Amino acid sequence: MSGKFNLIMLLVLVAGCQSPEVVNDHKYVQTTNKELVFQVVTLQHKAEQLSAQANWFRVHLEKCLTELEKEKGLEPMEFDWLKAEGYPKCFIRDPNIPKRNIVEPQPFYAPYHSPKVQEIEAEAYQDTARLSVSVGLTNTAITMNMALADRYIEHFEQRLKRLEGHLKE
Amino acid sequence: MGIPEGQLKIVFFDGCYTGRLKFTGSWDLVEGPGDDQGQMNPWPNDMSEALGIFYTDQIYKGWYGASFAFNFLTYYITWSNNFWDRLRLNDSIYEAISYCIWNTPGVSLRYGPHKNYRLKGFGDIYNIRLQQ
Repeated sequence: MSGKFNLIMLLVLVAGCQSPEVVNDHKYVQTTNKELVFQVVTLQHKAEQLSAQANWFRVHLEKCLTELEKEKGLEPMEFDWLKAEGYPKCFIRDPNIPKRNIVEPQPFYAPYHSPKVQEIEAEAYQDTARLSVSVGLTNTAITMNMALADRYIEHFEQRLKRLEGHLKE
Repeated sequence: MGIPEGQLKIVFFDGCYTGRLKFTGSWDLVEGPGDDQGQMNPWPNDMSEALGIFYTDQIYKGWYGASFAFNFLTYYITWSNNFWDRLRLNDSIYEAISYCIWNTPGVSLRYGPHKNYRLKGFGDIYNIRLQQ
């Protein structure tokens, strides 16, 4: 009885000593992606918030400047958007650019993986690609807003200089 | 000149290489070179400028490279359908593209519509929505 009990205890101990941590790639991928998704979404929200704040500031600055200009008897200065001087006159190909080499889609042979590994890899791969592009989209939005802000700063500076000049007179 | 403010919100040339068209100094419309060269040029690859899209409520969208729409490579059609569908549901451009990124098949690290689309102009993509 005692020998059997010892054997059972030994088995329990051996089982207990084995690492309980089972490497679950699938779970790991999911967790990592969740953290990344959270980071990306936070970044996106922050960028949206900044854009909204910048818009609010621009609209109010515009109003203030217009009021000031009217008060000083100046014609409010419009934001000059249009730089273009005309529409396309002709559609030609730039001779300096080499002709495109259009590659026909080729048959694709995937290396063999077990279905589970393939599924995990495909999921991780697609999620990584999507996350990467999401960051790119936010970056594009920020860059475009910065370009817009630059143009507005230039415009507001012009108006302020004009007002300053008018006040000195 | 240009497209008046508040009227047309989006110009989407849904065809190959439309994301890199540009004007030269002599007002010829050409296919611009690759991204880095194209943007450093005195006349950058920017159809929004060429079309006179300058307002914050307007945007130009195009495809930088080839946009396949045949055989099994129909991701571009799915993307475009998703994009217009989401805009119809009052998404902003930013939200609609985010939706397309996460809901269009055929995503890989190097190829696919998510790597190929280009936005041009000074539009605030967080706030451009179609009028309901």
